Amino acid sequence: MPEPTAVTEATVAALPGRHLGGRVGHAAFWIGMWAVALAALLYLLLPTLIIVFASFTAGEYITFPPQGLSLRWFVRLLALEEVRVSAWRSLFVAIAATAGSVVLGVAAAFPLVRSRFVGREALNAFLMSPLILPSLVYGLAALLFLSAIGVPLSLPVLILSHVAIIVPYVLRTTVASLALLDPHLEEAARSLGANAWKTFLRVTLPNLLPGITTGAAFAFISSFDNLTVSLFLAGPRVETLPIRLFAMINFDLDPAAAAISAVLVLITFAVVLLGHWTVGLTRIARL
Amino acid sequence: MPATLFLLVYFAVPLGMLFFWSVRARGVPGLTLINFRTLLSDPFFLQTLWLSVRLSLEVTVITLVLGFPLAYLYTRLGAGWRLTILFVTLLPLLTSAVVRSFAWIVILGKQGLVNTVLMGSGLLEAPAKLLFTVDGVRVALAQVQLPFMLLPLINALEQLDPSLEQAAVSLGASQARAFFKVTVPLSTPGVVAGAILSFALTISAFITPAMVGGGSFIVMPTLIYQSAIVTLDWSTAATTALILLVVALAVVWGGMMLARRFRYGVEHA
Repeated sequence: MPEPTAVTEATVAALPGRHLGGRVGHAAFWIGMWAVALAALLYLLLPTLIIVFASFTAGEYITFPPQGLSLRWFVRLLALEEVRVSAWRSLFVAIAATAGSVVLGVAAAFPLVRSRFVGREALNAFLMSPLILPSLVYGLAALLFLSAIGVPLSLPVLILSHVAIIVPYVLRTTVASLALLDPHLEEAARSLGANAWKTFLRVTLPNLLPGITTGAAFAFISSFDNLTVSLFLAGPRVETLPIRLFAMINFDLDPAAAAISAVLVLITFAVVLLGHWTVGLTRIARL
Repeated sequence: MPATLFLLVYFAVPLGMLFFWSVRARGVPGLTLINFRTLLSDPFFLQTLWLSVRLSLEVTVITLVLGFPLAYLYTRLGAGWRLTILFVTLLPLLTSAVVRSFAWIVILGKQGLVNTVLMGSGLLEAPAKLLFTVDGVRVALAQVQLPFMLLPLINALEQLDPSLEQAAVSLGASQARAFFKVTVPLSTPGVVAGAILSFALTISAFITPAMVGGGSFIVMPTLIYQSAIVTLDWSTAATTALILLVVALAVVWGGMMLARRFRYGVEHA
């Protein structure tokens, strides 16, 4: 079969519909595509840039453009006790919930990929379902459940509910990596004398690491940024950073809230950059 | 398996509780559908449901129209552009929804970016009311959901062989005709996947409508939150949540059926 690209310009030009009007249409098509695509890129990026820019304001209120530039609101942030406490709490919740979801998710990935049993597809769908269920609905359901069994709201309860909604992130990426891993590699290690543990730690785990890390990063960020589940389950005394930020913004447009946002954007930026250097963005986008 | 056990106790049982609360009502013995009947005959509730569905459909269309050309160019561009597009897609995807909604408050506010620019250029005399309107929320929601549309589109378009489109062009079709008659139909699975994700996430979005919409109007998630936390009417909250779930699942199911039928049609044409 001849390559379509082998058709020369002359033959193409001789074809019907390839006169001057076709050329103009061709250019118009690509100009249109680029115009929409560049608008979409700007649309995606603009809010992030604006909130970071707005946080450097020297004024008392958030305006755009900011009234002079200063770091005063970042300095002010350090003095805000509630912000500091809620930030550490969110970090603790996210680390604990991510650890839990990695243990559960990686353990669940093995039977889902390696063994054949009745209802495997159904089990996979069940384990992935927290991803599809609106987290607001889950927050309400968990609240009704906890009150029914008489468990008061507390930090451990909040962490467990975060685990439930972030397990699918780890599970999905680990399953994807495990499906690509050749079982012969592990068999080779075993036949060369490694025991089951050593094989798992030295052969299986290193190969799954990009998948697990990506899933864990997604899980960590969704827990750290989670507002909807926490609103239902945090209770009045267990305030997380997103709840604090939400309250600050709804109360009035405090520039300190913009400073917190800028810090969060910076952390996200670092995570994406780290993901690019370690796993690669192309691979992350496919997982 | 520990994960299954954990999710059974901590995920499936709570959902069962949700169902239980929706079929119970104060002063009514046993199980009843009265909560559903009350809500579905309440004009205010129906208006809220319709607004949620309409908003989600509009946001899905906006993200598709904006996202498709970008995803298409992604497959035709070099490594540098690809990385830029992925970076710009993943950055907002991973940024907190509270932060992004806040950014839209800054953009759409009375002294925000849009009003400053429009008034500075003399196009407007007084600041336009953009914040706390459905229009403002639509624009903000579409930005929040665009990455979820882009990733499935990019994945689907990448699997298409570009020589199919080239073949159509070399056979005399204009570039636009080849695009709409070859590339667009063949990318239906990605379009459906992106549309389902975008719709399901928009109809259940709480943060952006609450922050950018203020209290000016109510969508389904705000109704659930208010019933559960403010008025403490758990039966109404649970019933609303279940109706939201049913609507979202119906759209997901319908979309999947549509995709299957479409693929069948292409193969047998």
